[in-house]
Amino acid sequence: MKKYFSLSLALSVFAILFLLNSCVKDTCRNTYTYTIYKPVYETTEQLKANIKSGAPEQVENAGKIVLLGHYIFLNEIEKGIHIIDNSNPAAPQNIAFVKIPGNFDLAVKGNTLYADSYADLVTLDISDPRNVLLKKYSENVFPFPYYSSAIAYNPQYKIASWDKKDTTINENCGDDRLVYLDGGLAYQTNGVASSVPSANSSQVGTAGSMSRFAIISDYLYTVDEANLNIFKITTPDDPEYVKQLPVDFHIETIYPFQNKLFIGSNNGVFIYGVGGFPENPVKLGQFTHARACDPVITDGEYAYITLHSGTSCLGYNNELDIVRLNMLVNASLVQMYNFESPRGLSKDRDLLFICDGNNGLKIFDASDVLNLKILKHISLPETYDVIAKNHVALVVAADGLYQYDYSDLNNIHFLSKVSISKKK
Amino acid sequence: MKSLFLFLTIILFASPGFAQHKKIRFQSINTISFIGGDSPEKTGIGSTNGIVFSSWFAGIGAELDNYHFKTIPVFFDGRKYFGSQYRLFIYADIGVNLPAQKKAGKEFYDYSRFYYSRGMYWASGIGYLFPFIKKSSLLFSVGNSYKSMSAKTVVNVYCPAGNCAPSYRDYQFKFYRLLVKAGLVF
Repeated sequence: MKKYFSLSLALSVFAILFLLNSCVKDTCRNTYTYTIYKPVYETTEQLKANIKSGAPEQVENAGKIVLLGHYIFLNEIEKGIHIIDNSNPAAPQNIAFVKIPGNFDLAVKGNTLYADSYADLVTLDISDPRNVLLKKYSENVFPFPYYSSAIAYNPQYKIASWDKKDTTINENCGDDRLVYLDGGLAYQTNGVASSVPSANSSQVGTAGSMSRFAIISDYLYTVDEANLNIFKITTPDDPEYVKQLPVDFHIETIYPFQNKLFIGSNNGVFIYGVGGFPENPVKLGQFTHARACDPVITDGEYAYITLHSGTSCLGYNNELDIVRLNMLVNASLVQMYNFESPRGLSKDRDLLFICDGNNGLKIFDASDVLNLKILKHISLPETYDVIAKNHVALVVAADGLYQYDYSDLNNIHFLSKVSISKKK
Repeated sequence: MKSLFLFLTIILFASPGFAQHKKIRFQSINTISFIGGDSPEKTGIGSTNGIVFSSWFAGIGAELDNYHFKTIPVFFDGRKYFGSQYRLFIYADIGVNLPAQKKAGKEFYDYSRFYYSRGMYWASGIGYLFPFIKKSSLLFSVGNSYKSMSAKTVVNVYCPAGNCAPSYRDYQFKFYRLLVKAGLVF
């Protein structure tokens, strides 16, 4: 009887299993939102006519910064440059906005500001920041504008702005279409040098470590994805394109120091000398590191390189590398410090300032590079770049442009904030 | 799926017996699970504890479910026993499916990360208790189960200036599975 019971039970269970087997199914739905950017074109003449000072505008998406005299030049990514009167760092005044479509970088020398506009170089007279004048528009000097990853670049027309449309897609996993970056398809690499109206009309603005433009003497050096571009600016209002020099792939930043250029790429730092031969920079040395995004600065004896992962630069390193330059020809790593996500950095005498992403701004006593001592940790969201000069640290973070007074190391304190209000 | 049927055969043809029923008592149901579906078969372990009252059982259970994603369903369990010896039963579970790990860590590239979040869990089936040692029984059941969960990927992209907004993708996973359980009840 038990045998029959077991048999009938087993048959019943098999029958149930067969029925249930038809119910098994794995599903995966993928929802993602991306932004379609449709370019709005203007002719070159239309675009040039619009490059001028306008009323100050709210900072929405802060990029590179340049400091000269009592002015701060702050890039509004892809849109132009904010001019901020910083006569009183405790109460900076946003006084004008210069509309420059496709702008990412800038450099300043004297009363001349150089800025990129997609593939073009814009030269502006900033003697009167409230009445900036376009002096020269050099077309197609940056042949590899970043944004072109998804758009065929047409030199006959300039992109004045973008129509933005958010689109949400819901589909089965595995049906993913190739969609480039959410929020962006187009990035341009090249930057400009800006100058400030100041007592010394040939003074060069101090750029942040993330800059892709640098000025040494009468030359403007810019880097794009793979090359060093050289412009002669002996006549400031009339920059003259000299030549292009291949450097490496995935170049990110350029930092001028004395008569040398420190060029940061995904894979390392390249040091070029320009003394005596500014139109023909000579490679003096290089330092290779693990692949990562990496701005570089130097104090002459050491180079300070921050590596951060978490982006399409790839890599897994989040660290500060300190490299002894050793006559430049044999740069060697002397110390490495771990960080969360280090970005821009700056050095003023023995003080080292490091933007550590969401971990804020960190200020170190770097008198002994083998033993950095942290002096102050300031919590700020998504710190990006910093310029430390004249006892004031200028920090670009996600929600504002901050200034801190570090004249008294025992009392490093907040001075002011220019708010950034990101558009959704 | 073949191994599931093999397992069933072994269990079902083992000699059955009968245990005593009591009207009110604590009951602990400890099982191993064989979970089959579109994805490769996986195992799980779980424990459900509660009160038997008359022919009903109510309790709370948790499992470690390795199917596709390692998750921990936590659920209310209700079951009804049939027959004079209360051997045959049907059961139903409903609860939440908790990811065993919130962050999957680095995925295909360093700049992409998955963040898992909870979903729903339910199961139902039919089973039988075979008498074992003293007051304990061996349990065998078959049924189906469902677990869902969601995941968000965050992709940080390199941008030449400023902080670029990360890109997000949301995934909804739903798994309807066949569930075979064997275990010890006391």
